[in-house]
Amino acid sequence: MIELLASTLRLATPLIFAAMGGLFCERAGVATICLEGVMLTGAWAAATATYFTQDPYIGICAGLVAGVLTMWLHALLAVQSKADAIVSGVAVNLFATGITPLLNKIFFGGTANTPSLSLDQRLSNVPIPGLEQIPFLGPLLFDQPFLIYLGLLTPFAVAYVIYRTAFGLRILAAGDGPKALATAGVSPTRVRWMAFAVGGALASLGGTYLAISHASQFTRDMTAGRGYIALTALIFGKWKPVPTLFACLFFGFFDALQIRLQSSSIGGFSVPVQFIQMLPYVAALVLLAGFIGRAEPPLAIGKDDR
Amino acid sequence: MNNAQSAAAFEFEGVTKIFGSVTANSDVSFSVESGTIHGVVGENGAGKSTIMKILYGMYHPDGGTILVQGKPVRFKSSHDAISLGIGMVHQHFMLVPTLTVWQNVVLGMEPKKWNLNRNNSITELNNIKCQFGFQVDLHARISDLTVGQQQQVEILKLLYRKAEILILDEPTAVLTPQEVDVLLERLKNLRDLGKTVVFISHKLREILSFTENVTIMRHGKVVETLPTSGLTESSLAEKMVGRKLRALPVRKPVDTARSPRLSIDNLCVEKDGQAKLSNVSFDVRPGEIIGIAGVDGNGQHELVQVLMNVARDYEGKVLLDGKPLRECRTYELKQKGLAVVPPDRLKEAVVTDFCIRENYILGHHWEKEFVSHGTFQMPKIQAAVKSALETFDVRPREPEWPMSGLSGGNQQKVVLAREFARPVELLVAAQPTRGVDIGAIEFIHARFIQKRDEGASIVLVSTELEEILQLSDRILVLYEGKIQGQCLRKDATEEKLGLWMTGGQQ
Repeated sequence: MIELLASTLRLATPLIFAAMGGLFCERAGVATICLEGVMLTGAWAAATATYFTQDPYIGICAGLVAGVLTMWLHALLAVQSKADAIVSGVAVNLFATGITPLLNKIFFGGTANTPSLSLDQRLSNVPIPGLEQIPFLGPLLFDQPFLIYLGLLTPFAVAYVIYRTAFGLRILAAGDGPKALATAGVSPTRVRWMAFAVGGALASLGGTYLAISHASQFTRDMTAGRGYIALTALIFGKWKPVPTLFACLFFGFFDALQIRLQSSSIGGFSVPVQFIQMLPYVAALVLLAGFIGRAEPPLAIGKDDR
Repeated sequence: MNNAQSAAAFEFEGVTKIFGSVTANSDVSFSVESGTIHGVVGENGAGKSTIMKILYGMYHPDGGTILVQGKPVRFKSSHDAISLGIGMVHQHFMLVPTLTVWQNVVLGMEPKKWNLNRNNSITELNNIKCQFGFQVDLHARISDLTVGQQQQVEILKLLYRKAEILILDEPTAVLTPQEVDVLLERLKNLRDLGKTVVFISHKLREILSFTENVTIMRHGKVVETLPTSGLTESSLAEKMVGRKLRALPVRKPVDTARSPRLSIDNLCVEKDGQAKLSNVSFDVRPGEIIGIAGVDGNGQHELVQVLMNVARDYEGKVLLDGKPLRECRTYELKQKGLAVVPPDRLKEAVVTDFCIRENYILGHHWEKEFVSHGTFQMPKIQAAVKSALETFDVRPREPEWPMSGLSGGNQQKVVLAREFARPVELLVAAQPTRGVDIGAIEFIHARFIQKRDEGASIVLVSTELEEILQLSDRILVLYEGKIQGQCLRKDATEEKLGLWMTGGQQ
C-alpha cells in the first residue's frame, strides 16, 4: 500500500510540473496543447547535458533552457503571429518528436536513446531529516529526489503567484479580458511571453524528471502522452493550481495501480496487459465526460482577437 | 467664477485625423474649461469619439496641437495620457468579467508587485469611494454586477489613477433611466470636487440638463462651441444634424371597426416562482401601434419573449389571427408576416461576427429567393442586400462589411431592412432606438408609421416615454407585470404615464 503511494508520487510528479506549466500559459489566454513537446525537449536536453557534464543540476538547467525555448516557439506562432493556438501546439509537438531523435543521432549516433547514466549521475535522493526515520513510511515517502518535493510545493507557489502578485493578476487579465488589460496600459502580448517563459520552464522540469531521475536516460517519445494527461488534469482542476495538483495525484495513482495490476489475473484468467494500461486514460475520459461538471476555460482561449 | 476655474483644462488647435481615405476629424479646435462638465454632441460618425481618443492617447493626430493645462503635449500611448491625469470610460466597458472590482481597479497600477496586499488597496479604494460617494462592493465579481455598477467601476478606475479630466463616451446609452439619474448626479458631484468631465452623447436632453458648455460636431468638424444655457432641444438638434428635423407624417386614423389581429387574454408568466406578468390582456388592430411603456424590468422582457414566440411557457391566450401563437413554428410566423426588433440588438438580432449580407438573410436563408439546390444564390443575395442598404440608407453600403464595424444606428437599420423585406402583419419592436443617433431615430420612426399606415399591427415596447408618445395610438403602462393603466394617445400626458410607471393610480 505504501509502495503504491510512493509510486503514485513518482508518477504524478511529471504531470504536476507539466500541468503547472500549462496553467501559466492557458490562464494567460492561449490554448497550450504542446506540453508534451516541451517535456520531450526538456528531457532530451537534461539527459544529454547530464551525460556530458556528469552533473544532474547542469542537466536541469539545460532542460529549463530547452523547455523555455520550445514554449517560446509556441509563443512566436500563437502569441506573436496570432496563429491558431491548437495548430501551433500540434506543430510544436511534432517538432519536438522530430528534433529530439535527430539531435540524438547527431550527438550519439542513434535515434533511440541517450547513453544511460550511472546511478551517481542521476538525481540522488534527498532524505528529509526526521521524517525519513518513520518506520516503513519514512524511506518510501521522505527519501526521494528533490524534484518530487519541489513538485508537491510548486502548485502552492503557483497559487501565490497567480492570485497574490501583480504578475498573476495580469496573467488572469490577459486570459479573461485582454482588451481591459491593454486599456490599463499593459500589453497582453508581453504578459503572455513572460507567462510562457515560466510555463515552459515548469513543464520542462516534468521531462527532466523523467529523464534523469525517474529513468536513467532519454528514450525516444519517453513522455508517452503525459503532456496530454497533464492537460486533462488541468481541465479537471478547472485551471486552478491546487485542484490541479490533486487531479495529477489522481492520475498518478491510476498509473501506479495500472503497473501493479499488470501481473494480476481475475479468476485464473489473465487480463491482457494492454487493457490494464488503458486504466489511467479511461479514468481521464470518464472523469472529464461525467463527473466534473462544466469546466469554463479562460475566456480569451480560442478567440482570434487575443 | 474665479480665474483658476475658467482656465482651460485642455485645448485642441486644428487637430486633424485621417484613417485611410476617411477624414475622421478635420481642423478641430475647441477648449474645455477646468472644473466644468462639457458636452460633445454629434451624430454617430461625427468624430466625437475619435477626437476624445486622440486626447486619451489612443490615436495619434495627423495634424494640429493638443494643449493640456496650457502646455502642448504629444502622447505615445494612453499611458502618457493617464499620467497627465486624463482618463476615459469607453462605450464598451473595459473590465475583466472574472475578476473582482478591486482587482479590476488596480490592474496595471498594482501598488506592490510581489505582494498584492488586498487590504492596502481596499483601504485606499474605500477612501475614494467615500470621497466621491460610490456604492459598489469591492469584492464582487464584475460578471455579477449590473451595467450601472460596472460603469461605477470604470469611473472608480479613473479616480484611482488620479484622473483630473474624465472623458465618458456615450455613458448613458446602456443605462436605465434611474441609472442615468444616478450617473448624472455623480458627475455633478465630481465637477463640484474640481474634476473636469467631458460627456460625449447624442441625447440632447441630458446635454441640456447638466453641461455648462457644449461642442457640436458634424462630419468630423466642430460646428460650434457655446454655453449650454439658452439652447433648446430643437436648436441643438438642428445644429447637430445640419437641417431642420422633419415632423412625423400625419397618419390615418385607426379603423376601430376592424377585428384585432393580435389578441392577448389573461397572459400570466411565472419565473422561479415569481409572477413576471399577471393577467395582461390587450388587442392590437391592423394599422395600430400599441405602446408599452414602463420602467425597465416590469415585465416587458417576458412580454416580448412571448410575442417573439421564444418563451412558450405561459398561461392565458395569445392569438394571432385567431390562432394560438405558441402552436406556430417561428418560421411559419415569419412567413405569415411577423417582424421582430429585439431589445438586445447584438445578442438577439444580429450575429456580430457575420457581415451585413449574412445578417440580412439570417432567418430567411432557406427561402427559395436565396437558395437553389441547396446552395446560396450569391448574385441574387448580393442584389437584394445592395438594394436594401440603399433603401434603408445604411452606411457603408458594403454587403461584406462586418456587422461589428457598424454604428448602433446602422446596425438597427440592417435589422429593420431584414424584417421589413417581406410584408409585415405584426411588428414586435422593443427598444428600437436604444443607442441610435437622432438621424437614425427619425428614420426608424418614419418607417414604423409607414408600416402602420400600410396596415401592420405594431407592439412597441420602450422605456423612452418620448418615443412612446410620438408613435403610439394607444398606450399601456406595465408596472410589476400588470397593466397599471392604459389610454389613447390623445389623452396621454407625461405626468399621467409617469404616475402609472411608478405604481400610482389615477
